[in-house]
Amino acid sequence: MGIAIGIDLGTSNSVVSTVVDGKPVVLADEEGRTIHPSVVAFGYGHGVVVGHRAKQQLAYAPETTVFSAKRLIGRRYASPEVDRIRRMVSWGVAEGPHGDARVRVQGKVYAVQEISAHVLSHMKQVAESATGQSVDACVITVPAYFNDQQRQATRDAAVIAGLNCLRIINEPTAAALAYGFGAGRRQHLAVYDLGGGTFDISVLRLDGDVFEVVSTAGDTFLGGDDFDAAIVDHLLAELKATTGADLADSHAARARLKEAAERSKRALAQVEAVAVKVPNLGRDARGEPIHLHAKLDQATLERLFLPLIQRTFVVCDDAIGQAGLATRQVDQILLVGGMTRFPLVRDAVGHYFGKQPATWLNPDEVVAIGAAIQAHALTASAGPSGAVLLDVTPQTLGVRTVGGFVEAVIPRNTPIPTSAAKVFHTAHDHQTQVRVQVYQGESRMAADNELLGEFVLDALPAKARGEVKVRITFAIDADGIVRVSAEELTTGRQVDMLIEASSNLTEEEVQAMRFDDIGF
Amino acid sequence: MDPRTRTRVEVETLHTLLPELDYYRALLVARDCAPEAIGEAFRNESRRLHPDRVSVLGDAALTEKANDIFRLVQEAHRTLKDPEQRARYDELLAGGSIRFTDEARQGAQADKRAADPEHAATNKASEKYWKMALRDFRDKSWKAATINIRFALNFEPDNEVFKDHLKQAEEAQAEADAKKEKNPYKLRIV
Repeated sequence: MGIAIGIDLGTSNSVVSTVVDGKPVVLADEEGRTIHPSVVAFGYGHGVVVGHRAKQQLAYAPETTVFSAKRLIGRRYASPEVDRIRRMVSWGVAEGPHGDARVRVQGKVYAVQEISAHVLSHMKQVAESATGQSVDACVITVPAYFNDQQRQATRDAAVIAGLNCLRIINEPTAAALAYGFGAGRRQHLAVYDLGGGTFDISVLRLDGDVFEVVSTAGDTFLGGDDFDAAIVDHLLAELKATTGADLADSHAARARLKEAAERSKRALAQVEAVAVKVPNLGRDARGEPIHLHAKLDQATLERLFLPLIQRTFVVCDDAIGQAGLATRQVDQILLVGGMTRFPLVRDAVGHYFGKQPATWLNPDEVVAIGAAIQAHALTASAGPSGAVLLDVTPQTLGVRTVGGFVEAVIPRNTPIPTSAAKVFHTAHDHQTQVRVQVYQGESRMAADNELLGEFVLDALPAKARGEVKVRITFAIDADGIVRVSAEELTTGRQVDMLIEASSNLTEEEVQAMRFDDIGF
Repeated sequence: MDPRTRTRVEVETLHTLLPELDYYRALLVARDCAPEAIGEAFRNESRRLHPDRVSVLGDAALTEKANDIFRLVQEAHRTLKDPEQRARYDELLAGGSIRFTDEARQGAQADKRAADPEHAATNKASEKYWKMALRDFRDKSWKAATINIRFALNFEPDNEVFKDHLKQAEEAQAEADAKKEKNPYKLRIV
C-alpha cells in the first residue's frame, strides 16, 4: 500500500509533505530543495519541464513558460479577473469550448487543469523518489476564498495527474493543523496568509485535537505578485525618469524586472538598501541599449507596500467581526506565505493585533505539513485518533428569486456538514413550474454570483400566486459536496439534485487528459 | 470495546434515534446547562462522531449516517449557542416540538433584526427617513433627528423603536437647549 501526501499547490511555489511514524516531514528533491516553483515550461520539442528547471527558462522564453496558472483555474474567460491576469502574464490566455479560460502556448491550447496537473505530478514524483514508496492519495490545499468551481477544477487536476484526491482543504486551515497538531492547545488562533497571489485570513478555535474554523475571509487578488508588480512599476518609472525610455508594454522587460524585483525584495528583508542593475532591457530610439541602474531602500519599499498591507487589514476586520471577536481576543497569530517573511509585514500585523505573531514555524512549509496531517487523518492507518477538522462554507449559497436577486440559504462561514431549508412561494398566478437556480457568492444580485446549477420543479398545482409553497433544502456533507432538493408542500412532490460544481471541464474531457492514459 | 466497534455502534444507534432527538440530547447536555457547556459538548461530539472520524472505517453507508447525525449536531450547536435562538427553542420544546422549524428560525432572526435599531424600519418609505434619523443620532443633531423620526412615524405610526428614539432625541434636544440658555456669553440681537 502506498502513502498519502499533502500538497501545497501554490500560485508561485508548491511543497509536498507526508506523515512518517506520526510526524509530518517535508519532502525534498535530489538536490535537497523543498520548495518547487509552480512553473511549467513548454520546451522547443523537449516536452514539458516543471519546477526549478522550468523557472530557469522564464527569463529567456517567457512566452512558453507558464507561471501563476493558479490565478486562472476554474475561471470564466469573459470576466474582469481574467482580463487582469492576461495583462500580467507573458503567455497567452484563450477561451475554451465551455467559455472557460485556457492557456495558449506555441499555438496550442491547454486547460488550466492540465498545467496544474503537471505541477501535481511533479510533486508526486518528488514524494515517490524521496520516500521510495508509491503515492496512493493526497490532500491538496487551496485559498480559503476559492469557490466551488475553482475547488472542483483543482480536483480535476489531481485526476489528470493520476492522484486520488481525498479532500481539498483551505490553506490557512492547513497551517492551523500544522501549528496545533499534537500540541493540545485551547485558544483562538488567527492565520494571516499572504502568499504569491492571494490573501486569506481564518479564525479558528483550537481545543486539543479539534480544529474548529470560526470564520474566513480573503482577497483573491492580493499577494506577493502584486508587491513585485508595485516594485516593477516603480523601477519602470525610475527608468523613464532617468533615461526617458518607456518599457511599460514590453513583456520581456517586465519579466526581467520582475525577477530583479523579487531578488531585491528578498535582499531588503535583511539589508537597508540595495542597488538594482538590469542591463540590456531593450533599445532606445537611437538603437542604444537601455540599462537600469536604480536604488531601492526600506523607505521606498515601505511606501510601495503599506497601501497593499492596509488592504489586508480591511479583510481581517471582516473575518474577526464574523467570528464575533475583538482583535485582542485572538490568542495567537500564525503567519503563512512567503510575503510574511518581511519585517515590514510582520510589524504591521503585530500592530494590528496588538501582539507579536508566532515566528517559529516555517511559513513556506506549514501549509503542506497541515495537508499531510489531514491526509493522514483521512486514511485508515490513522484510525479515529487523528485531528478533527470542522470546516466552514467559504461562500454564501442561495437561490435566485424574482427580480434577479439571490436569497441566501446557507450563509458563508457556516460549519459543515450542515443542512438548511427555506420556504419560497410562486410569483405568478397559475404558475405550474419553478426553475431552481443555485448561486454561490456574496452579492445580492444573481448576475454578480457564480451559477452552480439549476433544475426545474414542475407539475405544480395551478393556483393564485403565493399560494403554492416550495421548500428548498440544501445539504452539505463533510467533503463540501452540495445536495439541493425542492419539495412542493401541498402535494409533497420532490426533486433532488447533486451539485457537482462544474469546473468548466466535462468528465470525459478530464479522463481524456489523464497523463497515465497516454500510450494506451 | 474496540474503539472502531464503539464508533460503529454509536453511529448506528444514534441514527435510529435521530427523529426523536432534541438539540440537548444531540449534544448530550442538560436543558439548563451553562452557555459555555454548549461549545464544549459540540467539540466532544465532533471527536466522537465527525464523519471524517467515521469514514476511516471504510464503510460508505456508515459515513453517510454520520453525516446525517452531524448535520443535526451542527444545527443543535448553532441554535443553542445563540441565547435568543436558544430561548425561542426552549419555548418550542416546552410546547412539545423538538426541531426548530425553518419558519421559527426565520422568526428568531427577525426578532434579532428588530432588536437592532438599524433594521427597525419595515417599509421602504419609513426606512429612508429612519436611516437619516440614525445618522443624525450619530452626529448628535437632535433637532434633525426629531424631524426625520416624525416623518418616519407618518409611515409607521405604531413603531415602538421609532417612538422610543423620538423621546430620546427630544430629551437630548431639551437638554442641549437648557445648556444654551445658561451660556452668558451668547450675543442676542434685540
